[in-house]
Amino acid sequence: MALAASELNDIKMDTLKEVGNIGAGNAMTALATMVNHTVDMSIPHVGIVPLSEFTQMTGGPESLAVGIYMAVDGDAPGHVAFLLPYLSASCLADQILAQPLGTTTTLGEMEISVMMEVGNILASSYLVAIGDMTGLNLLSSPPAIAIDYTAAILSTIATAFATLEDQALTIVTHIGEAAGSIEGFFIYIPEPGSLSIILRALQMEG
Amino acid sequence: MGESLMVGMSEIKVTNSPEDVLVALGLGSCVGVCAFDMAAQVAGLAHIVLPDSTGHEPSPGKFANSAVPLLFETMCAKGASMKNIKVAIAGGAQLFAFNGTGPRLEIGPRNAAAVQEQLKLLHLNVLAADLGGSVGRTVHLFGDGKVRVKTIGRGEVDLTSLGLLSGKLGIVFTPSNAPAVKV
Repeated sequence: MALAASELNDIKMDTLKEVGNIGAGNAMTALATMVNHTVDMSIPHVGIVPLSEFTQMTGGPESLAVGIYMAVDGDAPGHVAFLLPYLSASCLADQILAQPLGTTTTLGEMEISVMMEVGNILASSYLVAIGDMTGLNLLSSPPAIAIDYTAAILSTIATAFATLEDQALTIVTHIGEAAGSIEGFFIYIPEPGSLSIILRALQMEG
Repeated sequence: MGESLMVGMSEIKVTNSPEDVLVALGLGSCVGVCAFDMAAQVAGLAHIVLPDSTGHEPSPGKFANSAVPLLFETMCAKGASMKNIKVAIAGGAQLFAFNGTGPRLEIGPRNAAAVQEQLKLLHLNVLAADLGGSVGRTVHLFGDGKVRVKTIGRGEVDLTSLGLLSGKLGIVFTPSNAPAVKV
């Protein structure tokens, strides 16, 4: 049975925060390995907040951002996306391609392919950690990418993919490289029906 | 002094102050419907998210089938009349490039089609349109009826002026004739 996000009590919210924490922690480790630098993360923001509220994340609704989206299939379907400012994406491409920072000014075919692979690795790491924690089998679809206004990317994720009732629960974690040149946001949106599956797997619900 | 009125997802805003600007930021798959009655000086903008409310909880501004009629009702309540209202639409893009295809790809084009269908039912001609493709759009409707669309690739374009045109078409961009977009 679908659990409405509004029915979640504090303990369940905290549990989902921990789920986000574990997932993002593993994704952060994967990112740190790729860029060979320490990467920090925030405590996940868990809530029933329309994604449009998050447009300040990458510098405002009309800032240029890169969004990588993957569907989550398996035991608890949902959606994951990694959103980062265009400049961060360029820096990330430089680091992964072992070029001096500033080499990439425009994301071309090669850099876009790098971004998609980064999204893929981050999503897989995130989901593997949640899978280990819950015993659920969670798989990510091949990535899709958009380079556009932050607001356009977020609203597209919210509508086209989350079949969003405005009540969708989002788990958002800020990930940033300690040196400060790269930051991004990891967004996890379990389908409404998946919330109770995850909570049940963690024995938070009968 | 005029205001910039932000029209968020599922919102409809109407103004009769000529100095105001109605703004829908970063439309992706959403469609912005700009409407203007020059005689009554009433402007309205709807930020439509999904094509059809069937099977969803009611949220009048969110779906094309309810938001389009509601936009005009709200405008008429402020003194506009249907015969004077002129319309321009923008949005309905497909932002994400997938390797495969599937139903999740089609929200933007479906939104655009649903909005056009609703406008047709109300016998309203669309004077200018900037639909589809894979670009996000910010739409401004000025208090004098001017419609400006901004995208990352081609910058700002004045699509039309709903205040001046008397049935003559403005620019109609479709994915096939839209200027190539480079980031």
